[in-house]
Amino acid sequence: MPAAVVVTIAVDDVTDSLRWPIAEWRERPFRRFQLAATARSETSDQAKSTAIALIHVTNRDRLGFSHGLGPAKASFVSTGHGLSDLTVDICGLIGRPSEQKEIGWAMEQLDAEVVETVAGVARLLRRAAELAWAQADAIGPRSSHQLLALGIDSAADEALGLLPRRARLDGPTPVGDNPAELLASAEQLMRRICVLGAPSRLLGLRALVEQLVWEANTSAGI
Amino acid sequence: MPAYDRRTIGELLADSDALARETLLDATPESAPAMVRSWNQLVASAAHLWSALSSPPDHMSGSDPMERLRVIGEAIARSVRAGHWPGHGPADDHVTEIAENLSRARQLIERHGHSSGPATADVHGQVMHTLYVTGHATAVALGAYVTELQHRLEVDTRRRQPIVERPTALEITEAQGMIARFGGFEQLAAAYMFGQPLPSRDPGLRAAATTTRLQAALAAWEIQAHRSLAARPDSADLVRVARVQALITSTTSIVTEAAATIGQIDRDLFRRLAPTLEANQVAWSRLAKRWGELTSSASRTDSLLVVAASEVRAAIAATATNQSRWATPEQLANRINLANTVKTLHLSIVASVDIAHVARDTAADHPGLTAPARIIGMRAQAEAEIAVEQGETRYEGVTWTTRRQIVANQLIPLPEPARRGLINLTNDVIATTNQAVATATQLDLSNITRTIRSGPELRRGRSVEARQIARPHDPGSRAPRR
Repeated sequence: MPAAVVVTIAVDDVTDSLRWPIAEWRERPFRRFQLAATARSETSDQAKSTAIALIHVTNRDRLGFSHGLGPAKASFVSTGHGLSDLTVDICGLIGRPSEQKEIGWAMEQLDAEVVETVAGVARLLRRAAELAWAQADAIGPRSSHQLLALGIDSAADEALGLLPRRARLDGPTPVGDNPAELLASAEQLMRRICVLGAPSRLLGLRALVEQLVWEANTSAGI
Repeated sequence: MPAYDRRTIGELLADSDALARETLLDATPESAPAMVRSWNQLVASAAHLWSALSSPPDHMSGSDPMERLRVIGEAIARSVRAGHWPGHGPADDHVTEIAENLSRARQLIERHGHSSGPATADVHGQVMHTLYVTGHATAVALGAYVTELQHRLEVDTRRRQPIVERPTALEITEAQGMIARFGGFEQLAAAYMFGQPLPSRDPGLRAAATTTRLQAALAAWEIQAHRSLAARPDSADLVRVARVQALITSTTSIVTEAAATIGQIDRDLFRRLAPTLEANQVAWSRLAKRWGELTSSASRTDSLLVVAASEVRAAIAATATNQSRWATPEQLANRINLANTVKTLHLSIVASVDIAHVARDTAADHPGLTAPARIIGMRAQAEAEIAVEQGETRYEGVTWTTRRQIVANQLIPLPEPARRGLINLTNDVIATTNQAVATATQLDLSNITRTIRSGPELRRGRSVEARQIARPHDPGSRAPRR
């Protein structure tokens, strides 16, 4: 039950766990946090699921929580406050909102697999944008393909914005010379990581890519 | 110690307007460089006064007309600070005095409030009119300056004066470029004055113009493009700016053609305008491709620029397309006010004159621009060879990258020849934009358009100007005309 669940936030360089409502979290002047959830339930699995669900629900928009660190990757820790039998540590270290200028802060808690997938999406989108611009330029100065190409550019930028600065984008050029097919591949990749509880920016990117797939298919051959 | 200034807000504004007229009437070639140098001070004072007042009516967030003008003023100041024409030197007394008057008016408003002063709409109108007239005065002075330089160059060449004593072609070109920038500024100021309801004393004569999504998106885009290029531009930012400008140009062509097909504008005029718009679109696209070659996997577009570009794309898609294709003229006529949309898009082309100049300044001067060594090696060498063929000796035998840089494809600063290629492409953009703007002046953009002029016709007599510039409160004349 949500009422029985206490959400705690631990500051990684402070030994004591601090118990604040999530709403206050943003106001605290600490640089890095560890977010934890405590749940009481009949069984440990239920407690874990409840805590994770609560944190996902309350934070996914604000913090960009990822399913990538969901139950399968959760580990048990103690709050030391005796409030419950079990506490679930569900995320790694995340930056404060004030550090949002650093692109990709919201995704820093993602595991390497998710980051690599988003990087793959970014590569596909960049290549699709190159091809779409080449098509637009070949058609001529009044080509409506410019709209599609600019949309793909924006999606590629959005994907890059989700990645940490240090993420490497170097890699093989995606195979294929049809922007619609590359977009479809990007959309397939997005499906793998956009599951319940994924960050809203990730879901937004998926929606944008889906829209572009539709546009690419309807404008093909114009 | 100067006497205490007892003028009211109304008197300060009236004095500013009178000074602006005086500046126009007395505009001389000699005053042009100083007027350009003082320009940003005036625009900044006007913008501060503007923001001290309440928000102007009928303007959506992101389309503040003064902000559009302010970024142009700042861009001109940056250009001058970077050493471009007219370079450092004295300021103009008249323009400085107007700026001080506007600053004084802002101080009075901040100290005492605005309840007892003139109505806000009146103040906005007066401030904009003052800027408009002063901008026009500067353009007139610049035109006379260019004419004089051209005349001197011709005479000096005929008399075989030493080359060092003659005016340079570069100075003439740069002054002409400045005329185009002030021309764009004037048109934007005039568009605001003409798009606003008349001041409170003349209510109801004009319907308030509501800002459309496209207008708001384009205005926000212009402001953001200036800001992104003024900050720490990446090659990716310049690619995005050029691509969006190309799209705006294409949209302008489509919508203007629809207006011609429906019969809202002259078809012959569109036939003359269409090739200029196409040339402009091609020039922006070429520039985008060249900047695109210089991006690396580490290049990131400014996130705010991405947002502004996305909004332009969405607004254009909603305005002018059907399922990713351009809408037909009939569909456009049913969906939007074609005449207003044509005006909006052409004003955006006018504003792009300044964006193109900023892009050129960035290519010429910005120290932070880098690109992968391999592409720099190729591009710089190709441009250097072209320059050598044209008689440039400085590039002979120069290598632009080291072997180690090539092997690692290291990011290195843009060398001069690579910049030279970008500048040449941007000059094409500027030339084609000016051509499109000049052709479009025959469109009826609220009867207040001006041609980007440079020549003897700019030297007008005092009596002509006195007749043609009207006060903003004069309901009979509606707006300044030429």
